[in-house]
Amino acid sequence: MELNGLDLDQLRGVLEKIRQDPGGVQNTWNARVRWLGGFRGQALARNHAFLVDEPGGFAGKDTAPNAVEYVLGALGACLTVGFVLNATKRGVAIRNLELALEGRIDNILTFLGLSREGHPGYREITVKAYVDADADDATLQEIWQETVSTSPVGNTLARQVTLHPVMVRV
Amino acid sequence: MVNLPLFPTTVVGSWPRPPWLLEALRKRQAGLLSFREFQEVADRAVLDALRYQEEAGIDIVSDGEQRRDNFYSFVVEKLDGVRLMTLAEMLDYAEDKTYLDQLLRQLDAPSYAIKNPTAVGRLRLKMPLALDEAQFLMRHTRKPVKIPLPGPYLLTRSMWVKGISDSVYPTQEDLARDVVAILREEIVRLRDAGVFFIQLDEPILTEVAFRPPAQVRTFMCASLAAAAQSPVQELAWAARLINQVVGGIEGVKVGVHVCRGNWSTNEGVLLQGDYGPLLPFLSAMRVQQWVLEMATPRAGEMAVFAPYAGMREMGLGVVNPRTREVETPQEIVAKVWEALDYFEAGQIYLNPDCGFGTFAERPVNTPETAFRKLRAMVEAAGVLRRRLGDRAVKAQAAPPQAPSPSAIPPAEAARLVREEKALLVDVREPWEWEMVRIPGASLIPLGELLTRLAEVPKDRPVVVYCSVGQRSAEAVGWLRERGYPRAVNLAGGITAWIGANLPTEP
Repeated sequence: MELNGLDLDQLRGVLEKIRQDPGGVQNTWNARVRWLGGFRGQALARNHAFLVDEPGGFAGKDTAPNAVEYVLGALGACLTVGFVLNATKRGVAIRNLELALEGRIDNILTFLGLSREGHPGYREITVKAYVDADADDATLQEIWQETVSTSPVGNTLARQVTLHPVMVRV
Repeated sequence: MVNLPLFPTTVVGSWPRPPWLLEALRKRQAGLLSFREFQEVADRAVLDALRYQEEAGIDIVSDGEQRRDNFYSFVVEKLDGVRLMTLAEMLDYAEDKTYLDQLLRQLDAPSYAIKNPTAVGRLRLKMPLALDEAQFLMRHTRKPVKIPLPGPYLLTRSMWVKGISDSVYPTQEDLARDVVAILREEIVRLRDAGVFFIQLDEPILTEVAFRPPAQVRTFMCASLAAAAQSPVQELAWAARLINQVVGGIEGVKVGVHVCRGNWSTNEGVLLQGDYGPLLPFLSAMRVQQWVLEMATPRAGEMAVFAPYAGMREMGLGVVNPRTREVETPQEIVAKVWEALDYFEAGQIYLNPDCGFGTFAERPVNTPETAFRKLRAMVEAAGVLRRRLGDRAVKAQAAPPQAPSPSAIPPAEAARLVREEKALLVDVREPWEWEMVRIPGASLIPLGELLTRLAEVPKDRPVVVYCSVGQRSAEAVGWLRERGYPRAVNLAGGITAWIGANLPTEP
């Protein structure tokens, strides 16, 4: 039995397994980023790799999205996964789903060392989800609320994360 | 022959669809309804749209485009070789994905909801494009009918997508040849069926002419690739395509409709600019009528028509289809009064700026408000007829004016330049010169001509031109009085030159 491209038996099995053994679920994630010259970098995560660059307007080569765009992409992807999970759990078939995100930096001058006002991170991010699914508006609204409140990346951005930065000379 | 009153009232085409028609359209697009089943639902909607127009007193009616998802992509139902692709499907082929994202933000829509008719194979007619629409409409009304068709430039630019279409049609020009042939046959077919008025919709001409910032472009300026050519070349190409479609066809009124976008009720996101940059090309198109926006202030001042006065009939946009408030008959009369400075009474038709439901899912007004706007138009026409006399006019274009003896047609002008080393003098303004000019011409604006006569030799023929031949006629008069017996005027100006497919630059 399949819904939204997911195998329902497999999904149920995964959820059941985690319920029975919450300690066994992966809750630490790793990434490694190698500098490639200029503003380019290659990120490695498990057996995957992706490039990071800056646009020409920021003296980059514009060969890949930049880091703050990956943040938006990560949030959008996370909400997509959550929406599909929550809809599937309720048996709601999704025909189409697309998220549009926009982030506004608080003060980019701070990043460039040209100002001490504010901070160079996102001040606010707006997310708009376009959904085409077989469910009434109230159900879709519930799924969306649940998705947003339980989103790992959403929570990462909305709460304070403790950063542990260390530098080592090799 | 159809006898129409002075100031005939008509529509641009579309009417807001009822919810049950939209539901049927969605089912049709999902393959849940057959073509026939959908048409039966649409029949009812057409009759409703027609009733609104007839009750309002409209003289030339349309079927409200109720059978179409929008004014151009409906052709996928009628043609083999075209597929309605979502922007999501086309994203991989798009050369400018940033532009697409901006577009979607502006439209506040996801890529899966925006569809484009895309050429995926050789075009072949499955059934006539609009003959079914025309025949049904004519069975149910005694009024003359208007059938809008997507113009050749719009269809070519939207359907040709690099990476998808080029395996069959290597270039846009290759696709254009088939598009032109299909439209030409359709016009003849509609004419033979008794259609009075065929309107070629070319809304993206404004996008080409005004080169707007990305955030106000529409997705129709399709092909997703930036236009390879300069705006002037694009517009000249559009005019040539129109002429290839309509050239030599008689017995039916053909108009061209241009607007600045009709997909949002937010006027701020629609294009802005007067007809100045477009008129050299509109006047090169061998159509009988321009169907133009004039109600929205974004269409600019009517004074730009002065050099083109009376050249074509004017389908004057007198009500804004997107606003809630209904224009008063007095306002409409005032608008027409202004147009009478540039067009004969017998040349002016009254219509809204655009359709009321260009895109099925995005109507810009309710049927009730649309009806009241049509009603105001009809009342205004009544006032005007009483003022100017209720004489019927034959609804045919005025015969072209005979060239004056000192005027010569484009081919003769080209020969004089080539064989007799004639000097070409352009008496327009520098901004017009920058847009388009004849290679080898010298720019001497009319106002400077008499002080710069030293630059005009007397031992060679002189061919003078402007946009349409009015300023240059004056210049030729001056030159002949001052010892230039071989000065001649290019009849119809650079407009006629472009229409004759003669070279221009840049």
